[in-house]
Amino acid sequence: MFQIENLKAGYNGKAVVDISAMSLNSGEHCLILGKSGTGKTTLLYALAGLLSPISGSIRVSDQEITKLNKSALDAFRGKNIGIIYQTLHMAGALSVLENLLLVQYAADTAQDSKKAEKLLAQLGLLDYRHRKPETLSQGQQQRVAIARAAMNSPKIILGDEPTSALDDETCETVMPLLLEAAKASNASLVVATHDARIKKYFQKTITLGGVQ
Amino acid sequence: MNSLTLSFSYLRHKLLGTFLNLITFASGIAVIVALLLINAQLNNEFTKNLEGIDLVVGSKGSPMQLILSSVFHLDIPTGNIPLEEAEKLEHHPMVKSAIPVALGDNYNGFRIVGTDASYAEHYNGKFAQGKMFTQQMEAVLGSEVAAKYHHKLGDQIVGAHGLVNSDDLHTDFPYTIVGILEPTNTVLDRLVLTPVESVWHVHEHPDADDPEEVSYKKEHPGKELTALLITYKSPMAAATMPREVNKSTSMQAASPAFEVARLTSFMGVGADTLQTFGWYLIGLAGFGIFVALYNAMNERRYDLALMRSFGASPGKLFGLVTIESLILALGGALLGILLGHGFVQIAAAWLSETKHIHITGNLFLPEEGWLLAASVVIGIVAALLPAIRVYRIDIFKTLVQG
Repeated sequence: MFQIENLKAGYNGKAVVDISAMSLNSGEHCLILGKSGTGKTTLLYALAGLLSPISGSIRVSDQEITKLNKSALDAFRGKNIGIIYQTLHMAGALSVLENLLLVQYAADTAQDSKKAEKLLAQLGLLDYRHRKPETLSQGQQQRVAIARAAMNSPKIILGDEPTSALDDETCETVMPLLLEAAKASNASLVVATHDARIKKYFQKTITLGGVQ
Repeated sequence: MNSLTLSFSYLRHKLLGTFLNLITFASGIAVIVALLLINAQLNNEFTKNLEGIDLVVGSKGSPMQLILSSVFHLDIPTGNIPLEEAEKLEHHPMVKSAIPVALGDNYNGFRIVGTDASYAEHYNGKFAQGKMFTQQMEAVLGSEVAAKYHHKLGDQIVGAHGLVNSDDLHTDFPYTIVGILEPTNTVLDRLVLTPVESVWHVHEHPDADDPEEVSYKKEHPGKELTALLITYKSPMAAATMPREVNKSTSMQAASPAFEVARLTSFMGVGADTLQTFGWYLIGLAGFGIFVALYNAMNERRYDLALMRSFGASPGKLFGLVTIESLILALGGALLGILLGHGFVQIAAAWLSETKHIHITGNLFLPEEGWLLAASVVIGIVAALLPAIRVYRIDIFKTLVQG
């Protein structure tokens, strides 16, 4: 699903991540583990195309994203990558359902409220679709974020600490839902976390040690 | 969901702020619309009533009062002039026509004007019913007077002493209605016309209860008029005639055009001030929209960055911000135009009741189109800076680094 070669990425020209080779096959899920400051987030957003790498190559779904110009990259991300942010970033003025449709509005794809409702139903949120996100609990909002990441049937879903704010019980409910959502859109799931509780859900784990 | 519905969602989300901006913007527009409407119609009313009257001759006093009282029938007269002197002027070689005006009484607040047939002719008064008076104590009603009291030909009406509604009725001297005029949209609609002789007849015997009137009658035993409305034979007369009257007679000559220009220049100061205030309000509201958008963009930078991360192009968000601003500006402008017309309509009801000045809120001026265009410009300008900020938003810094 993605291949990384000789990647150096970081901020202000200073590399936080230095990976010579890493790859994930289509349909495989993978967990990126590591202590804070080891570059989990940096790697994740480099994959998302939100952070330009300092050097190296990133291929997502056979597309060399480092070679795309800004607007082509935006369009590519909109159609192929779903993102679950650590701070969930719900649009407060919009209802839960509209938050999902926002994805398709932004990506200029056909708005499919049937699909949004189906996703919400799978995550047990159908009754909340006309509520504002702020009226939902943290766990419910987390599920909205999952539904939203799956909205455009992405090839890859990137999760930035999607479970670290959740208690054990909610964590155990959310993780299977996340895997299910990924499976339903046939997407690879890449999760960056320091949350050891979710290790058991992944066959493949990459542990980052930071730049030596 | 499209950019328009999305903009509405955000405006609804900040309902109070949206409402404040709309109201401020609308208030500015409303003030300007009301001024435009009133100004245009008053000017029109003045010019229509003045048409063809080059000079007004009456008793000495304030020239503006003379014009207001004898042409527009708004103010009280300056006094009376002796008939012999007035007749001399009628035959002056520079005078084409002179319409006599004798005031003194009213019918339920509508002035009874002693004059001759030329008064109605001057304002192109056509008869809806009946004909012009020929005898003393016959009356011809303006359309509004007739309509208000549902009068028909042959009805008798009684005048009251003075120019405003009073209880001092001349019950011994009823008028008989012989004609009712069609509407002319001039002052004529609000008058009761009668031969000058009727006015003289009614006031021949002074009211013994009123010592002022008795002593006045003693000092002025002859017949009198209130004013003469004069049309020149040639415009050249304007150079000499007013001065001639003012110097060599006990009467005063006043130019209606000049006095009205003076009057509107007085009112103009007030109107200019109000208009400046209106633009100030609009400017303030424009700035309010700008600040609101700027703050909204700041609060909403996560939402906007989020949309960018979902693949929305910067241009799309630029459009979103501009649409939001335009909704506020155009919505405010339309609301303001509605308010302005509503205000004038209410003022019109009051003015026609108390001042017999007729204006309407149901009139649309081309200038209002310009107000809408100006609002669009203000909307775009207010959106520009916030939109540019949105355009430059850094997704990663905003969403991940906070």
